[in-house]
Amino acid sequence: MGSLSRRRFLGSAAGAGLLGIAGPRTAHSASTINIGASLSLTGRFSDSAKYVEEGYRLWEAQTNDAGGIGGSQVKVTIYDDQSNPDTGRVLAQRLIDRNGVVAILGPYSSPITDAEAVVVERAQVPLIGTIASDSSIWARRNLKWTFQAFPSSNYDHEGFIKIVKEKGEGIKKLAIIFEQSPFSIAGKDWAVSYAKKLGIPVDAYGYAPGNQDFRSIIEHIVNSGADVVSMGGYYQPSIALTRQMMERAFNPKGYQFIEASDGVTKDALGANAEGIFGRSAWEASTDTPENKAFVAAYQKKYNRKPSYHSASAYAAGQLLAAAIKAKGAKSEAIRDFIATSSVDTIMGSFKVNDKGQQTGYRYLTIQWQGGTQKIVGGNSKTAAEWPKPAWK
Amino acid sequence: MSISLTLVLQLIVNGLVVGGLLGLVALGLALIFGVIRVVNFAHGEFITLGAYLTWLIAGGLGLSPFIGIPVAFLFGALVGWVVQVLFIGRVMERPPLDSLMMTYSLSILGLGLFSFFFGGDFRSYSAGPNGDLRLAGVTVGLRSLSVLIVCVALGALVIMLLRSGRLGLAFRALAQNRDAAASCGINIRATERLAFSLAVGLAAVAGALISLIGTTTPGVGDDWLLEGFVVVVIGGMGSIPGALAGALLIGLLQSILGYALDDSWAKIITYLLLYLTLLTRPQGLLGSAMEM
Repeated sequence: MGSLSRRRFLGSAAGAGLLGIAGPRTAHSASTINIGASLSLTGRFSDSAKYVEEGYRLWEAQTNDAGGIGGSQVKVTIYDDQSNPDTGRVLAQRLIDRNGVVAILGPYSSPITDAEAVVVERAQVPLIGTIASDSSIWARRNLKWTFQAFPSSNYDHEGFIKIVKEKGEGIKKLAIIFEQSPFSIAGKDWAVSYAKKLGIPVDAYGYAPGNQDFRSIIEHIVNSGADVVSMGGYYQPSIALTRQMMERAFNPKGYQFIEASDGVTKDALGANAEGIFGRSAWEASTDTPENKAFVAAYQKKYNRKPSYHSASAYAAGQLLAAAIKAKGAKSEAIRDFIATSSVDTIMGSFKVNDKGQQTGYRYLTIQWQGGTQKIVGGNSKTAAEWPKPAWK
Repeated sequence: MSISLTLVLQLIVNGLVVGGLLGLVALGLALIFGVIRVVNFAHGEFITLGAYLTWLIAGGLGLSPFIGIPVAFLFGALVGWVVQVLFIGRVMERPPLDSLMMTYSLSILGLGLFSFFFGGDFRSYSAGPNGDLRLAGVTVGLRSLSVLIVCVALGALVIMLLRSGRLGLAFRALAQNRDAAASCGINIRATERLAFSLAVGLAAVAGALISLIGTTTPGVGDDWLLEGFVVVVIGGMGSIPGALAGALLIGLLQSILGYALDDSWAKIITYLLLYLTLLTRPQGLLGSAMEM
């Protein structure tokens, strides 16, 4: 025992037992690899989070059907965090202490990922930020066990600005609207600098989180003469902004709101969705064998097309499988692999920088054309429609 | 920053639309407080009810969202009646804190029910009038114009109802002195139920109109409720003219300050105004006693 007294040793052991602290984390048995996740199965994120669950379950079933990883079956334990970051934090601790997970697949949304990061950093269990676009989570502190596995919010406006540069000859000014939240500010900062670099005049307008009234900002944009608009906020304020632009009869030549790739854009805006740009983390039509196989398997299991949420969840599973296959089912080995490797997934080639921010794949640019969304820009064969048709 | 007359007019029109909606919300709050002496924290959920009803009609059934306005009013009024009978009316004789906690509990219950039935994501529909009206360089969308017209019409109707007729007289009598009203033969319970019912109907119409120009979530009513309270405090608790004047003031202030400064400052100044009102004129701008 060296200098450790018997009383102290027993106390420590009892404490460790009570707190559920074990030595290096490995799978519970040779035949099962324990992985966990908290997801927003109820509450405000529940509509979207269920698709993440489907992605995780599909990956789990396919992996086990194929014989597991290195002969071990995978078990994904999912708890409901009720769309609440504090609950997510508690559940992450429970997954580590009670379920003995070797890694945690990400929750839905950046705020819950942010909350769980506190737990995994302390417990030294890797967390894959499946649906965490907010790069500021990694920018504002030094995270070693938490990794972004989604395109970074810094590049929210990138694809649209490239199209403006390509198509928007003679445009007067680009107006960027951003929420005064870290992810949106980071996207705005990157976009303003990028637009200036490309010689595009640009103004930026911030709004407070929760704000749904954009009339004052629209008046500013109208008076500034800006004729191209890119909105970097969440979906609900984006619809409010679009409606208010229509009500004001303000018809920009080019218009993006970053969440426009959400399928319900058409329900919300009807024919006025035509010509609107958005950015998309993933599209079902991406033409790679792995992606096609994923789409087919998902459709077979759930009888509908997958959303990017499910794709990102599936890709997180692919990343974890690659790490375990290469280094074994130990938390530290998984962490080291993810931090230093490039892994091909259905989202693209995953890679993180030294902060843990995902740098491998970026957003695709989509545009609503003829009632469906098409990938435009980049290597796409579909030309962007420019200028946007006037509001109907 | 260049400010032209057209811009000022545009900002005024924008402010009137927001002010109209706030007026409808505040009208209900003032009516409930004036007649029943209850601060209704559940008012936001009645706004949400109207918004979801209209979404179901326009987004679900594919009908005109304008059908949602009378439907929201009637259904809201019915729900208001039931809530007054089953919940609020039962705690009326108890200390004010009990009714406050009752409406707060109803608010939490409503929020939970909306979240359970409709989920957390927002709902929206594309049906409704598109296009705009332009006059002297000022543009107002047909949806916003519809909102403004309905708010003005309902505001005028409520004022007419209160100023004339037996029901208005009963409301005013209750607002002035409950015991005296009872001794004059006014049916207190029925009058209170009607007042609550009317107020909830108005809240549901506000929700229907909000869904027409915005989006619907379980918390949409609460977003408007807070500003509704600001309006009734600034205008004068329980004062109908005060509620309407306060709503117009806040709507215009937020539109003009939102442009001149930004939306955050517009909010800060609005709440500073609330603070100053409470400090220097706690009865509100137009409130003396229970002025209806």
